[in-house]
Amino acid sequence: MAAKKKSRIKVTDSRRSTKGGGEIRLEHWTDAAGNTTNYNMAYVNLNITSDDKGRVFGLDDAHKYPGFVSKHHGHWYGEVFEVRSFVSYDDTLQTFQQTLEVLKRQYGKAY
Amino acid sequence: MKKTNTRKATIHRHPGMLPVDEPTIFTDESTHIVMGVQSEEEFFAEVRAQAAAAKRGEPKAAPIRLSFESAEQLLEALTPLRYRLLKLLQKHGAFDSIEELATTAERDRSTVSKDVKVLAGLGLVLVEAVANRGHGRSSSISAAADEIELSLVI
Repeated sequence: MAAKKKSRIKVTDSRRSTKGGGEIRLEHWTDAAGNTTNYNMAYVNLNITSDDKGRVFGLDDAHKYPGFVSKHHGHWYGEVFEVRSFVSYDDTLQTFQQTLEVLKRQYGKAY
Repeated sequence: MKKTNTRKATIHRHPGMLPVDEPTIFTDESTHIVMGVQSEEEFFAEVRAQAAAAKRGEPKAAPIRLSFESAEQLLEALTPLRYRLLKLLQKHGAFDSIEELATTAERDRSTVSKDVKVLAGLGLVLVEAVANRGHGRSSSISAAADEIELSLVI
């Protein structure tokens, strides 16, 4: 029997330790043609918050929350919000990086 | 003990915000880990390059990349004793408990437990809670990757 073709490819699984004991983690899956199928971006730091397993901020489309129109959503200190203005993975990555810059300025060495 | 930072970014709550309901944040699919030193800009540039390659129709399964700000930070995380634990886990396979791992490594249980916690936090070790019939629960400890590549330029 022929092996089942893998439906998605994890093209990014990158984790970065921050000075304040946190971790930035990025996951990105595409189909064989390179179109984004799923993504997950998170900044986790248990020294900042214990809510949501330490996730301070995140953007992902892992599943749709009840009442949300789209599966694109954000995480912010243990709460989730809907992202209705999803444009692309690149655009979301840019938003994520810019928000990290704000958090970096706010927390300084604790970031 | 590390002091907990209680400062919180300004947040404007609105009725659309919900409590989180997700059992896990991440998934592990690769068994190849690459550790190295990068600036945050280089880290994001590499991720963008992976996305661009995929968009060109060349999607490639990526190894897990563990990125550190400096060589010092990397070496603080991967101490010689933790390196030996990783080698032992790769050679031996899974251990059924911290005690068993500590005994085989000929080390103190509490320091092995701390090292396993750090390695698990880095994603280098997998710790799974298992029911231990008649003895509550114990932890199964195994290496997260078949291959760990260390990239360090001095």
